[in-house]
Amino acid sequence: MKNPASFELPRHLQPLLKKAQNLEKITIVYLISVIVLMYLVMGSSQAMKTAWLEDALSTLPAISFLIASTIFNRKPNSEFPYGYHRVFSIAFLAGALALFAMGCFLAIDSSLSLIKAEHPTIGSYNIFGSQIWMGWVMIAALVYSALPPVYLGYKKLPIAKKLHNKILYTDADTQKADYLTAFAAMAGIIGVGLGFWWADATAALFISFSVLKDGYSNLKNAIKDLMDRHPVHVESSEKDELVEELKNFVISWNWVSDVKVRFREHGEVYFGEVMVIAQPNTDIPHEIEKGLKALSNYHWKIYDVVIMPVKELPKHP
Amino acid sequence: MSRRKLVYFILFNFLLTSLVSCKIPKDPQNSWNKAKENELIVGVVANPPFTAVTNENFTGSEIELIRNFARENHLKVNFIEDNESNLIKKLQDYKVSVVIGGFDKKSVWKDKAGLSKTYDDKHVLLLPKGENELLIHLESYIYKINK
Repeated sequence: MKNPASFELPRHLQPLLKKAQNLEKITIVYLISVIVLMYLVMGSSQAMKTAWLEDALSTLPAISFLIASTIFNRKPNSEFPYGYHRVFSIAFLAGALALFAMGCFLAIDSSLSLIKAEHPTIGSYNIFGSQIWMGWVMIAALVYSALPPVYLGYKKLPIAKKLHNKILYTDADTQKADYLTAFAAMAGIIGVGLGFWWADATAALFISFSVLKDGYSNLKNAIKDLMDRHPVHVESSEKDELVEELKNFVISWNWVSDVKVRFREHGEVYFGEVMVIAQPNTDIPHEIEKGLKALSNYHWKIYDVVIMPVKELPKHP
Repeated sequence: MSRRKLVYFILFNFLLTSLVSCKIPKDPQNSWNKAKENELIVGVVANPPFTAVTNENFTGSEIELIRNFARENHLKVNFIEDNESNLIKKLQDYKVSVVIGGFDKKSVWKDKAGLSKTYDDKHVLLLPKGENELLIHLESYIYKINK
């Protein structure tokens, strides 16, 4: 087994983590400015309220990533003998749950506002002596809330894939699509301006469903990870072929006659067992020591492995 | 220019032209147009010195405000007196377009009626919710008298 020193990402990934942390800090500062601005102009528009809550929620992945990224590489100790990698999975679950719950609330709230036929009153501002309809100010705020996240999302996405980090990936992926919700809210405001009172609540409902959809799929993923499913790629949720490759690598050792492997994700890295049937007359402890060393150099994601000599491989898949 | 930039550019121009043409906002229930074509029906809750009613005679600071607003916009005004809850009901049914009577910006009717900007840092006029074209004209007058 690997020396349980504190976990270090491979050298080529360390600057990426630093970069991701910086991007998330920028994201948080920017989002706070959006939240304040939107709150000041939101008035009685349901679409603005929904978009505002969505922006407030979107700080959660960034915050949980930043907190988790200071914890995940602590040394294993007697209380946490497997280390702290799973903090990422737990942060992911917490964020997903919040998103899902808020999506439910927003969908109900917006539906009620539509059923009650709430006509949103949108007044005006007096800026430097000229009157301007607040709807335009709202739209300007929405433009400010829509464009920078697209850029931030595109910056974070490739880093998240390389780090195999699901919170970062989810954060980037939702931000990249965030302009859609802002556009929906804009359409709602313009609709109200054209005299269609229902446009506001309809836009809000659309935004709620997009929050709900993200929340549901993240929640599903987070729970599956914590259920120790086979490791998957962050972007496609398809099985990571690394596990199969590792199996083929082990079977290529000449003292091994058959092998079965089992891995699970702990945040960014994989933990698992390799069960082997050794050839007769093998110096098993010696070969296992050698094997563990080979596996620890195999891929940075293959982090904590046990090699177990058995007489018969377990039947289950 | 990338496709996205182009979309934003078109959107921006769309906003700008709409802003200049000033056709937005419109009333879902046509309160402003009805006031222009027929008359502006104003519900009055007697509350001196803002509003007072003596022998069908309407006086008070808010009555004057509405009369001046109407003169400026060439509207006929029809004042009708009633109690608060009746008038709010009529406001919700779009039977009256404005309710006056010294209402505070923290009025209990906040959920049932739309509030204008304050004309003196404290008092507001009540409108049907969502009648944003009427509202923008009223507020335009409020800004003017506060200049």
